[in-house]
Amino acid sequence: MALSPTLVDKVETIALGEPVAAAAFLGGAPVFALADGTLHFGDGAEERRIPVHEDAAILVAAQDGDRLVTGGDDGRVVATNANGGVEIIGDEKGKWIDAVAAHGGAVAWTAGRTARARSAKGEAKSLDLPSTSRGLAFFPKGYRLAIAHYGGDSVVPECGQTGGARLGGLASRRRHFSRWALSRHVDARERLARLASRRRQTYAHGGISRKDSQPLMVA
Amino acid sequence: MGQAPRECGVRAAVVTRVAFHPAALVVAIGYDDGLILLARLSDGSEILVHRPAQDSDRARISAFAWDEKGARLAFGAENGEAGVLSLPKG
Repeated sequence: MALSPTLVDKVETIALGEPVAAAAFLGGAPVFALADGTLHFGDGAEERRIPVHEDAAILVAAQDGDRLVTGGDDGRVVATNANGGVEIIGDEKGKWIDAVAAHGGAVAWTAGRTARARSAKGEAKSLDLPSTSRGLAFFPKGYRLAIAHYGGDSVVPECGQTGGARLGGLASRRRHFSRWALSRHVDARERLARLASRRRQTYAHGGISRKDSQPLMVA
Repeated sequence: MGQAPRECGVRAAVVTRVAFHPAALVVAIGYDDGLILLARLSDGSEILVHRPAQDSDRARISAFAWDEKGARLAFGAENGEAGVLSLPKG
């Protein structure tokens, strides 16, 4: 990649008129999630807007392949594909969606003190949290979820199967990890991996079967 | 591990979004005045992508996304301004 002092002239600007909550590329085309609850597809020549959260704002979003999963202040979790096809994944009856994660067809979200996950097959699970959450991330392998919340982090070995383990001292007591920080925090990831591996062994002894018996790889 | 974190893109504005390039050691940095830089981690060199907004109120960069190959960077700001950077080839 050749680096020149400025790339300002290589930018095509788009006036969207609404605050931008998230951006993504779906099927090779840029998509912007807007605060008025719509998705703006395209950058100039071919543009269209699709309302995905009626009369509501998009608060959070996560991409999974060619789907963009959005959470709104209408309490809905909606997946939109590159063709503009919309599917309602979850509905929290007006509770604001605080965080979403999407991976391999599975979707997870938090609203207040509840985390929910829906597998690619459509099985739904939920988990009570000690506090609201601002960060969610699926592990790259398997159906596992890391949850950042105020006062610490949780790692849920199998989504919703048992209570998650709290990692005391991982996060500062007064701060929370953002989604980005969680995925980039090497220390945290190593500790999550160690803890997950320990719990995996515990569960193996406890007779709880797991589909993927591979050692968990993180980082 | 065990080393001091590398600093890049230091300026008198709050960083509101960051996004790693999917392949190169380059990070996109967005600030609360609307400015966007690409910073190369190996030598700390910086490239201007987007100038700060005239009215820096609500200009903060609120969204970033690289495309799969890292050829384009989409960005959005709280004031409704958005754009797509296409990196020159080569």
